[in-house]
Amino acid sequence: MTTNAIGRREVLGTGAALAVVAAIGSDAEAQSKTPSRLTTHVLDTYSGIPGEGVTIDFLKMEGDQYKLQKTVTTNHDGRSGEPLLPVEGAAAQGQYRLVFHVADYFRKSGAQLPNPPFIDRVSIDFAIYEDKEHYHVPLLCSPWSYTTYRGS
Amino acid sequence: MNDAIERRVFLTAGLAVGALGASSVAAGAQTAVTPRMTLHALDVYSGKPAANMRVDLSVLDGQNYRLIKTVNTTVSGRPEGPVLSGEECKVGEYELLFHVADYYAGLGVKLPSLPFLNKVPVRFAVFEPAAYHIPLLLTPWSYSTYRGS
Repeated sequence: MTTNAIGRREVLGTGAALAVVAAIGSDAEAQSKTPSRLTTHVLDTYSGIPGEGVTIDFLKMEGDQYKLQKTVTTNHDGRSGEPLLPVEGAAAQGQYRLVFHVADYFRKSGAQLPNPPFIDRVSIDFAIYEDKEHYHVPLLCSPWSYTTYRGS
Repeated sequence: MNDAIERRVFLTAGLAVGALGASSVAAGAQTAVTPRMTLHALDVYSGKPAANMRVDLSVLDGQNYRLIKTVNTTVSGRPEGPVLSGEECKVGEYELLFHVADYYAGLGVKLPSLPFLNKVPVRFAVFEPAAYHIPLLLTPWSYSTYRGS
């Protein structure tokens, strides 16, 4: 592996990274105004549907503490309606956390969970390391498992 | 494009979840064994167990996670012996913190200066005395975890 982009392509096994790069555009002025974006998507692999009505807390590391930025609820498609992070420039770089309220969601959907549930709130900690990029961080979850990755 | 990718990963995950169905059905059988907590780090980027990875085990104590112990994986991707065994494996909420970026840096994998994944927290409950096996399947850009057996 010689570059990060190649590494990602190997992992995802698709040309999606190229599409993201292309979408950023070539006009220098437009590029400088392109904010970093963060989106998410919850997929319920237990029922095979998008995770609707999942509460997600979005936090940013400030000093040595994660500070709550906003709380959103996923729509019928399992997505937050708006990007979590439309911030321009280097200010977007940093360490972030998404907290998915998974047990609350599965209880509402009628799943039988132990008490306390095996998986309650899932914390995904990740960094935004380049500005003007799109970061898509999905969660594929069941009451007993979850997966995340840098999507597109 | 977006949906196609997610469907592909979704299907892959479906295999893991399918396997899990069996383990949750066997939950009754798991309660019969000596209570224990074990882990396994698998580097699916390199196609081998993740050796020499630091993992911190903490327990939720009030509002905060309190460090109990630090273990390191061997060449098999597992620490020597269970992380917790018998009486130690009490009902409670735990965090395993996998030092993923340090592991990949040790292999010479080029990561961003601020790695996308650095320390990966896996939070779960021991809800009854039983065997809890917590695998982590990881790359520098993704991971999966589940209740194994």
